[in-house]
Amino acid sequence: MTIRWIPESKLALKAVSAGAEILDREFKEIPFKKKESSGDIVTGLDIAIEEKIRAILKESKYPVVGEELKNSGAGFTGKGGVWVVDPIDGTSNFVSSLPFYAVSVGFMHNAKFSAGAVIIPAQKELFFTMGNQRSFMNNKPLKAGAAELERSLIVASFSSRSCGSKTRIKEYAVFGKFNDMSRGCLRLGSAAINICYVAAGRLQCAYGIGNKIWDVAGALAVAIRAGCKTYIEFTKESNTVNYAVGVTGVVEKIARILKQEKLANLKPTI
Amino acid sequence: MANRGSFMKEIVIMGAGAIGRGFLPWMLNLNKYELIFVDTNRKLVSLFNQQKQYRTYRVKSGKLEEKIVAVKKAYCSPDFSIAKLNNVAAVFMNVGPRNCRQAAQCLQGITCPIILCENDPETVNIVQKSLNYKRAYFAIPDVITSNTASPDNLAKDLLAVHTEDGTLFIDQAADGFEGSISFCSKEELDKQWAAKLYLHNTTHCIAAYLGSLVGVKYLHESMEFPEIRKIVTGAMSEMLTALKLRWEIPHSFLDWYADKEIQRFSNKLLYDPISRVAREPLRKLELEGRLIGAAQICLSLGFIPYNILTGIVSAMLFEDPKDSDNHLAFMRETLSPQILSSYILGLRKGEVLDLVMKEQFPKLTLKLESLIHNLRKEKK
Repeated sequence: MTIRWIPESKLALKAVSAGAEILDREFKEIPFKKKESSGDIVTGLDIAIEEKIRAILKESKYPVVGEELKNSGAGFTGKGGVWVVDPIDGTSNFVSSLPFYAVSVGFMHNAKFSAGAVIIPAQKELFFTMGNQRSFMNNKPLKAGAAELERSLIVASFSSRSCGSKTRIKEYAVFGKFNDMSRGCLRLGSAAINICYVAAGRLQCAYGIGNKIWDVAGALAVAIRAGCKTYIEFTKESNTVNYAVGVTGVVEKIARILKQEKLANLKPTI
Repeated sequence: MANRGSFMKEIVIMGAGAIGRGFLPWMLNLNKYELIFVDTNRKLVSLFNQQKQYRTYRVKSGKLEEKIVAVKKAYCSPDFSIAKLNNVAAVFMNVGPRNCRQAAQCLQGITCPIILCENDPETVNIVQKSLNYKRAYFAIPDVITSNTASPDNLAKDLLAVHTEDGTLFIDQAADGFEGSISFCSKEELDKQWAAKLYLHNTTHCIAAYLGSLVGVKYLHESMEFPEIRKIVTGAMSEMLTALKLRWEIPHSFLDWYADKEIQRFSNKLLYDPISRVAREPLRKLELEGRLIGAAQICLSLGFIPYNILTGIVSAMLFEDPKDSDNHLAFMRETLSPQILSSYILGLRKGEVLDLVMKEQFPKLTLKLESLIHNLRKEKK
C-alpha cells in the first residue's frame, strides 16, 4: 500500500494539540450561551480554539469546515479534500466539568475519512492517524479485534432536536433494545470520544444518527486505521452523517438493526 | 546423538535471539538437555532445522571460545504447542517484554517451570495471569550478548552469535534443573535487578542512542568517542550516586558493577549492534523504566542528572524506520514539548521532571545536535 496522508496526519495532530493547550491554559469558569434553534451550547473557548486550528490548517491547500465559524461552503461528500474541525466535542460535558470532551480534526478526501486526530485533555489521551496505515493512542498502536454482541459494550450518539421527535422516539427505543442485547448501551456525550474508545478496544461499537460531520470525522479516520469496520450514510440534511463503527461480530449486527428500524441506511466503507 | 537423546530431557527456548541462542546454551548442561527453539522468524526456524546445529562464541579473557550447539527441533511460534511435548524440564522465555502475553498462549497446559529472561519483572505476573499458572519465575541474565557475530564467524555459520562470559541469576523457587546457574534468594535477585536496571540498562541504552545519532553500527564504536564515553560514564556516576543514597546495597558491589559495565560496553569482540540495544525507544522511555525512572530517582534525591537527561533527549531523537516505535519521530516532529511530555512520556504537568525537561529539553537538544554534528565530521 502506498503511504499517503502523512502531512495531513501531522497537521491534524498539531492542530488538536494546539487546541488542548488553549483548553489547559484557559480552563476556568466558562461562560456559555445557547446556540440558536437548538439545545446545543457554545463557549468563547470553542471559538478561540477553532480560530487557532484554522490558522494552523492554513499550511494546507484544502478548505475547512468547522462547527463554530463561518464555512467556506466546501462539501465533504464530493471530490477533493476538506478539513473538518470540532473545537470542543462534548461542550455540555465540558461546561459541567465532566471529563468527556475532545478537540477533533479530520481530513476527508473524496468522501473518505483519510486522516485525523482527537485529543481528550481531561484524560491526557491523544488519538491520531499516522498516514493511511496506522493509528495510535498516545504512544501505543491501536488494533481492533473481534467480539460477540452479548459480551459487548455499545455507545450511542443521538441526533439533535432538529431531527424531529419521531426519529428521536425511535432512537430511544433502539437504544433500549441495544442495551438489552449487550452488556449495556452507553451515552457519553461526545461522539468523537465514543469512536476513539472503540478504536482503543474499550467499547465494541459506536453508532450515531444525524450526527454532525465535525463530531466524527477525526475519530472515524482513527478507528478505520485501527482496523475497525465502518458503516456510513451521508444524509440529506446539511453536514450530517449516520454511522456505526466497531469490531467484527458486533458492528454488522448494529448496522443491520439500525437499517431494519429505518433509522439509517448504512453501507460498509471500503 | 539420537540414542543419547532418548534419555535426555528437553529445554524449550522461546525467542532465538541474543540471549536464547547466544547465551543460554553456555549456561545449561547440554549433556543433560536437548534444545528446542521457538521463534516468530520463519527464516531463522528453517535455518535451525536445516543445520541441526549452530555456533555460539563466548568472549573469555579477551579471546573467543566456540561452542557447537545441537538443535533437536525448531518451531515457528504459531505452530508450537507445549501440550505436544511430555519430556520438558523448563521453558526459557526471551521474546521481548511486549510479546510475552502473546507468546505464552502456546504454553497452555504446561507443567514445568517457565523462566523469564525478559528484563522486566512485571512479565512474570503477565505470564502467570495469562496462563493461570504459578510456576513462572524471573531471571536476570547478567551479560551482554549480541544478536549477530563478526563477519568471519557469520561466513562460517549464519546463525552464529557472540556473547560475553556472563552469569544467569534465577529465582531459587525455580531450582530443579542443571547448569552453571546462580539460583538465588529474592533479596539477592532484587539487588541484582536494581544494578541491572539502573547501572546496566540505563547507561547501555544511552551509549546506543548516542552512537545511533553519530551513525555507528556497534556499541563499542560508540564508546570510542571520548565525548560519548564522558556522557555514558557521567550517567553511570549519577546512577551510582542515586543507588548508594537510595538502597542499602553494598557500595563495593555497586562500584564493581559500574566498572564492569563500562568495560563491557567497550568490548570490541562482542559486535553488539546499536539497532538491538536502541530498539523500542518508547519502551525505554516508560515512566518507571531505565531512563525516565532513573532520572526521577535522581531528582527525588535532590540532584539533576544532566547526563541521564541527555540520554532521554538522545532516545527521543532516535530514528530507525524499521523500528516498531518509529512513530516517535512522527510525534516529536509534530507535538509541542509540553504535549510530548504529558501525553507521550506521561509526566504530570508541574512535576519536577516535567519542569526540568521543559527547561532543559531545548538546551540539551541544541547541545546534542552540535556534538553529533562534530562527531559525524570526525567520523568522516
